[in-house]
Amino acid sequence: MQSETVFRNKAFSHIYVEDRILNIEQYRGRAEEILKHFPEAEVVAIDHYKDVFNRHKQNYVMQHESQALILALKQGNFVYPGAEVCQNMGNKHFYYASCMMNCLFDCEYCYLKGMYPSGNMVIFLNLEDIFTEVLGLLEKHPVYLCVSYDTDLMAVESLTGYVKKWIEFTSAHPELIIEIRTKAGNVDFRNLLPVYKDGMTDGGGRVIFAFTLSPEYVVSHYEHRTGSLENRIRAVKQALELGFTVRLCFDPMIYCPDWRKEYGSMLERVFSEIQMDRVYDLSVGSFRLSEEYLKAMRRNMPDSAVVQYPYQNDHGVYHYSEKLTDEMEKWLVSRLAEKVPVDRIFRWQDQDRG
Amino acid sequence: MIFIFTALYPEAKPLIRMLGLKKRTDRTRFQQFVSSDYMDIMVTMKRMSSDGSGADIRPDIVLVITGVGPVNAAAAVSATLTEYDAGSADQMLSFGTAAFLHGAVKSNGTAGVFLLNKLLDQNAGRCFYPDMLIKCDIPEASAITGSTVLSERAAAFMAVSAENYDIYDMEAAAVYQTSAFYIGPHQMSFIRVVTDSGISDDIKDIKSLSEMVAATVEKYVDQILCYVDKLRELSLAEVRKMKEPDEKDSELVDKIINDAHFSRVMQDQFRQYVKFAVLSGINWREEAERLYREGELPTIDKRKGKKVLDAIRNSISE
Repeated sequence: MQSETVFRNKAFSHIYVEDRILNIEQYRGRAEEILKHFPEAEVVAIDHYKDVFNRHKQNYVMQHESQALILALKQGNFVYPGAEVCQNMGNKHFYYASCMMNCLFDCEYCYLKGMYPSGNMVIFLNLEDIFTEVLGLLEKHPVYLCVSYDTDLMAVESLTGYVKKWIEFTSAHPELIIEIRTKAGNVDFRNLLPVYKDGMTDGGGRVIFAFTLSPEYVVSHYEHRTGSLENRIRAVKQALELGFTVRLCFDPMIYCPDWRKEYGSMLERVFSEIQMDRVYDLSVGSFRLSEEYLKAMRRNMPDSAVVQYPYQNDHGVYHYSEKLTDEMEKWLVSRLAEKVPVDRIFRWQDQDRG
Repeated sequence: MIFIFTALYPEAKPLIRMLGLKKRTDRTRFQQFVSSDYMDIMVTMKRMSSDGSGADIRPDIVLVITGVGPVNAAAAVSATLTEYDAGSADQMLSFGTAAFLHGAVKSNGTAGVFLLNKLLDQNAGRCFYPDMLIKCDIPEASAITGSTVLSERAAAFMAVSAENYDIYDMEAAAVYQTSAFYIGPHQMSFIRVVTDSGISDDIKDIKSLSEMVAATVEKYVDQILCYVDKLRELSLAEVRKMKEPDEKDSELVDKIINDAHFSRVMQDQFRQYVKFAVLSGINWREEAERLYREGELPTIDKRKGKKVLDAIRNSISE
C-alpha cells in the first residue's frame, strides 16, 4: 500500500513549534534539543498545535508519508480511562496517558489512522503536567497506566527521552504500574539500564515493556517502518537478559491466508530464542476497531487489504467473525500454553468488560 | 487535475506559454486557460453541456485569472472548484507575485521565488498552513495577505509591525480559505515570486509594470513548471489509489448481484468481499464459477442468495 515517491519530503522535514514554547525557557530548551536532531528542517512558528493538527479535510495517509513534527504544550486532560477495546491485563484502574499523538511507524490497521484528523506527529513538551495529573489519580487508588498507546514512545526515545522520564517517575511512586508498548526493533536497553536499576528497588516489575510481535507476513505487508520480527525478538532477548520486565503482545492478530502457518513459524522463532519462563505475561487478541475509525480508514486507504477486510460489526465495533476470532485466538492461546502457564496469558475476550 | 490560480495575466503569461494552454472562449466571468488537448477533445466530441455550466470530462490542467485582491480570488476559486467538481485527487497551485518585507527573503535580494508555508490573513488575524509534502529547491517563506496594494510607506511600517513574516501578497490566505471548502491542505500549494518592496505611490506606467512582472516570472518559470510536474504526479498517484481494485471484475459482480437477488446491504457486503479478495490476491472467481457450475447460482430468491453470499465470504476469509 505504501507509495513513497522520490519527490516527497522526508519525515520531519517541517517542524511546527508553538509560539508559547519559544517564550518559556524550560520548554524552549527542550524544543531546541529536539530541533538539533533536524538541522535541515524548516521550522514554522504556530499559535496553537490544533491550527495545524485539526485542519479540515486532511489526508492522514499522504501526510504520514511526509510526516511533519509539531512541538506543543498540552492543555486539558492528560490521562484517560482505558477504552473497552483495549486489554486491561487484569488491572482495575486502567488508564492511558497521551504525551504524544501519532506514531513514527506506519501500521496500516492502526486505529490512530481513524482516530486522528492528521498524520502529523505531536510531541507535548510539558510532561510534568501529565505527571501531576497521574499524582492526582494515585491519591485515590493504584494506577495501571499505558503511556505508549497513541504513539510508540520507544521509537522516538532518542528524541524525547520520555521513556527514561517515565521510569524515573514510576520508580518514585510504588502504586503506579506503567506499560510501554512498542513495535520497535532497534532498541538498546543498555541505555535505559542506569535509570531502571537506580530507581526500581522493588525489582522493576512496575515498568512493563510490551512488545507487539507479528508474523513476518504481517510485518512486511502491514506494519511499515516497524522493527522486523527478528529485531523485535532480539530486543526482547536483550531486555530480558538485562532484567527488564517484558510482556509479549500477540495483539492484534491479523488474518492472512494460511494464518496458522504464519503464526506457527513466528511462534517457533519466539520459543527458540526467548526464554518464555522469564516473560512477565502475554496478551492475545484479534483485530477489533470502532466503526467510526474503520469507516474513516476505508475512505483513506482504498488499497489496503487489511482495512478492506469484510469485518463484522457488533454494536459499533468491527471484528472478525466470532468463528474466526475464536479459532485464531484459541489456537494461539493453546500454542502459547505449551510454554507459559495459562494464568499468564490474557485474552482480550476474557476480560471483565463491566 | 491541477488548478492554477493567478491574479493577473502578466503573472500567468509565461506559464500559459510553457504549458501550451489555450483560452476557453466560452468562459467570460474569469479567464480560463486549459490544455489544448482538452480543447480539441471538447470540439471533437461536442460534449460541452448546452448551458455552458460545465463538461463531463475534465482537463488535466486549468489556469484561472482571478483578478487582484482577496475578494476576487475567493470568487474565482470558488467558481472554478465548483465548476470542475474538485475532488480528493486534485491539486491546487496559487501562483503570483508579492512584495518582500524582510527576513529570509530580504537576504536573497529583492527578487526570488518562494513556496509559502504560513499564510496570515491580515484582516482576520488568522493563520493557515498548507501541507508541505513536496521536496523541491524553492526556498520557503511566510506571507501576509492584505486587501490593499502595499505602498512603499506601508511596506516600511510592515517591516516593523510584521517582523515574523517574509512577504506581502493580496490573495494567498483568501485562496486557502476558499479552497478549504473543497479540498484539503495536502492539495494546496502557494508559490510567490517577489517583484518589489512596495509600489511607489506615483507609479503611472502600468504597461512597464506589467512587463516587469512578466519578465520576473519568466526567470523562475522552470522551477515553477518543475513544481507543477510534481503536483501532476501526486495527483495521478492519488487517482491510481482511488481506482476501485475490482473494476475488471465489475461485470461478474453485477451479474452475481442480479442472479443472487442480493438486497442492498448484501450487495455492499458482497462488493466488500470482492474488494478484499482482489487486494489480497485471492481468486474469488473460482468459488463463483463453482456456484454456477453446481446450480447454486442463479438463486430463486434473496434467502438462497444469503447462502451464496456466505459461501463467497467463507472462500475468501475463513
